[in-house]
Amino acid sequence: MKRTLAAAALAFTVAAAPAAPFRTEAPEEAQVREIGAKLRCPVCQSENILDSQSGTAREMIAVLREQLALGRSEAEILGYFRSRYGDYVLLSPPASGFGGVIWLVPPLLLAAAGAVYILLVRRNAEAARRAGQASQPRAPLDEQSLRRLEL
Amino acid sequence: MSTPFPDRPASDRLAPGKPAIPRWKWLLGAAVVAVPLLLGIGLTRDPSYIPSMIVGRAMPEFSLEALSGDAKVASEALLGKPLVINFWASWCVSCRQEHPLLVQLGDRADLFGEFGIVGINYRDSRQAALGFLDREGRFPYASGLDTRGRLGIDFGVYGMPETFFVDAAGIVQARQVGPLTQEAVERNLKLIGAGR
Amino acid sequence: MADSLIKLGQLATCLALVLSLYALGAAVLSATGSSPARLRSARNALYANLALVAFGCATLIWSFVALDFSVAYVAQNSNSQLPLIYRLTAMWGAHEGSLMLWLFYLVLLSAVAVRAHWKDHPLSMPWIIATLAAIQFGFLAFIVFLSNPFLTISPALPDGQDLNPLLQDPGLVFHPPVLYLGYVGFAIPFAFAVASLMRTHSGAEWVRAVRRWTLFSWTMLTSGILLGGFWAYYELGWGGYWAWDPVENASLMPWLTGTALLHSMMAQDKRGLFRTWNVFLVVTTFLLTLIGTFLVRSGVLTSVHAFAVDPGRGAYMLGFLTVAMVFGYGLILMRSDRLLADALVESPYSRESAILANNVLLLVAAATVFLGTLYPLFVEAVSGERLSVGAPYFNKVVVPLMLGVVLLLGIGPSIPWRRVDARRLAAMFRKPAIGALLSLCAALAAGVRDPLTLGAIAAVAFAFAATLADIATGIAARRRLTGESWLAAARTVLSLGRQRFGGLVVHLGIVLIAAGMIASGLFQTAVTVSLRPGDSFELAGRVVTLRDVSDADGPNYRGRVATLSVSQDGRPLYEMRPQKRFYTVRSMATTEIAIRSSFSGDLYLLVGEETQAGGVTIRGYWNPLVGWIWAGWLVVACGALLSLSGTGRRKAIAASTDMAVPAARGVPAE
Repeated sequence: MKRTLAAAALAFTVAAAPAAPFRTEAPEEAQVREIGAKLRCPVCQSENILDSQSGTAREMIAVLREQLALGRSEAEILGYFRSRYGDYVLLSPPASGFGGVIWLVPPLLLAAAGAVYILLVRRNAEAARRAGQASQPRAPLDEQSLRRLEL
Repeated sequence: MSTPFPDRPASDRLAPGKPAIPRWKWLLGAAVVAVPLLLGIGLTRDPSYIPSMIVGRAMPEFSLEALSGDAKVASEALLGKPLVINFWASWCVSCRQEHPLLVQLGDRADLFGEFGIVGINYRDSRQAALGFLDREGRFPYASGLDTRGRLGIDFGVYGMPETFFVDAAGIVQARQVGPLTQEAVERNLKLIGAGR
Repeated sequence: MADSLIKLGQLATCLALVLSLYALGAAVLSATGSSPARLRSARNALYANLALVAFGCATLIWSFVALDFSVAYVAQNSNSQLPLIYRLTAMWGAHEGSLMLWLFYLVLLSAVAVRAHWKDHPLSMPWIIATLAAIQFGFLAFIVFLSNPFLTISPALPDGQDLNPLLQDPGLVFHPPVLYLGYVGFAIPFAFAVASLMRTHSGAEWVRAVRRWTLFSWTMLTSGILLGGFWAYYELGWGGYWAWDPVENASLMPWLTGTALLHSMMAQDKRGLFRTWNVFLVVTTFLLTLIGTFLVRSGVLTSVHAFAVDPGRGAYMLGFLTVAMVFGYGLILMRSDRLLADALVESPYSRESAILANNVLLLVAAATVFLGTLYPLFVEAVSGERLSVGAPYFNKVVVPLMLGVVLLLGIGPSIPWRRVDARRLAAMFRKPAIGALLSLCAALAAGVRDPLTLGAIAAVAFAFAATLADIATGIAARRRLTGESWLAAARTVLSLGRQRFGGLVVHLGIVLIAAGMIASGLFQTAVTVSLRPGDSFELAGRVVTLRDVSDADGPNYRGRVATLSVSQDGRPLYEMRPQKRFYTVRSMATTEIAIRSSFSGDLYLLVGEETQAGGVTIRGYWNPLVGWIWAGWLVVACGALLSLSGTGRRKAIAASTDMAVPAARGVPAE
């Protein structure tokens, strides 16, 4: 049992983590793809500039390469396009203004839902105890009967 | 949608001092109103419209090779009086629609001199652009070649045709996406101090 | 002749519209007046609708086969040069026909559901029929008045405008029909939910029916989404399969709530918990399928997948959606107080609590996707500004939530119902935790430093080990009990505990999919090179050499094909031939990607523009473990089938064992 598990875990690990290095592409190229994936093509609007076939997107990639070659940072390059096409061009909404609000939504949702979960489970457990349902903890079922129960 | 789980023990629900209507009901009710409302508003908008970033700011500088092959078309030489900048291309279908209006506008600029006008041939080849003008009629003003569309990016151009209205101080005051209309021309010329 | 046939199809569809209205009226009357004859005639109207709509679809398909260009829809979406298989699938290639397919599924599933549950749900049946008839009416009216595929043009066009080249692909044969089946399937649980609210009763038989239909729809939706991803992967040529496009999000949202529903139904089944919550989830999932339809067909958001836009259609869909929403949620608001749970979540260390946590995470994920997708609309309505919420956002916020789900996926199935000792719980997961730790070390040793990536690897390894351990424990217990061989024990356990082990197999498939997504999403490599024949480049340890570029024309396109040979360590491996095509009728260019799959990843090549100097642009991707996603889908499908095949048998087995199932209470009212 133990050995099977260990073997499975190992096989999985080996497969999930292929031999280093992970990226064989040039670092500049990886950077172009990383930043390009954050820019929406203003012409084919549902695609980023890497995926878009439009001429504007290709020129935007050319600008992106030029600016990277000049040593500009990601923030500067994104800012360059943002000053021309607005927040719309950023597929990842900016951290300020309306863009900032949507970044707060998932953590707040998770916190609220988590609070409800904890409250509910605690209140439920207490009510169960009060109702006497659980005053006498049942003898834990052995594994075998548990399995049969599941059938 | 993260409504609290509605299953509560009966004792809990009937506890005194609780609001008669639980909070999750308010939330759900609000969603029933808000979601269709939002989608309804969305229906009335054009999802592909991108507002201009350049309106209210100084016009980007440029110096482009002229379509005619003469001197450069440069922003420096055009400043000092209201200016109309029209992005056009031979491959753009709706450019044909606004063409007569642009020719008329160019004649008017020539005649009265109340504003300047310049064309930017966008992502096009000289040959195709000249062929287009042969078919549709020559513009009475110069066009610069933005073959790779770099100036278009500076202006935030995303659809063809687009026209920018710049005042005498070099500040962009308005942008028209799509073919020009007489009404849009008059309205925007007034904005840059060149209207009648 | 052909002309009159299509008119007959239209007539049949109009008749179905009338009948759906009749069925609605008769069913409601029979519910209030309890008249069995009226109910039977409402049921027969639904059966008749199946025949009528099937005939309508048949006439449309026949028009494609016969290339009848007097039918506007045929003329717009086919061409005399189009191969027969794509003429058949062109029926669902555009808005009108795809709605027709949708409608066909709706009438088909309605008839099947009514027939299957006629005997065991007599008291709910009027409301089930009424709800289904109302939904049918909504879609029929949409088709007849706003999206009529039967319109004819006179004179007939000499030839058609051809099918969108992107849709001329085997992917179109499978993706939309399967996806739509998933969407439409959720209408049946919705009808049951409405019935339960109208009667303020949801007993054991309700749970059984809804679970089965939910599992069926969920399987189809999962398959449809993955087939769509597969299609995008090998047809669109950007090296990926999921772009967080609004329309993709629209299919993900009901998947998330549907997944939550599958699990929380289990708590109602076994323990009588979450009654109102389950009804809420059923209604929400159905509404989300309608919202998806609205987003795709109204043009309210820009999307690569959107159909031709028509504001009238958008307004209609919105109206329909609003009615369904007001009705569904309104019923919950008014009636839910009378659907009380039988039991409580007794302890944080229990299956119930794990299911609750799973629901919390899935619902937060669904809400995040929903809000993110609609947020640009909201901002524009409030301020007039435009912003984008795209792939980088969703990757950053949804992926961690889904990792939590994957982690729970490993934990949940092993925890007993009601309560378990916390120490015993920790002991149960010692081995999987060690597995996760091992893979974490391996990843660290391999040079991974990004915390999210490390977390993902650990979570997936944990879930994989825990699920395998769960299956193994089950088999081992059986073996101890009977002394059978491992193989025999496995067979018995799998066939007796179909529902449980089907679920575990599904989990295994999901873990495989997650592993494939994480690896291909985080470790993709790409190169773009300009090559001349004889030149080569290296990608992921393979040397790719361009041999030549030649013509490859087809019946309705002109094409160019690049031949590239791939070798590794000096050994030649295989040749790959990416193409690019120009479809003459629609004057549209497409790329045909060459993909070579292996266990460790896919080599993915596409050919771009040719230069005057005889060079050609080649773009290559190395996508690690992508094949695991599609393999995982097979595992999920097998598990779901196993589980579906077992739902009917479960009660019989439980009754035969000497131990009573702890819950499964509920009033046997039907």
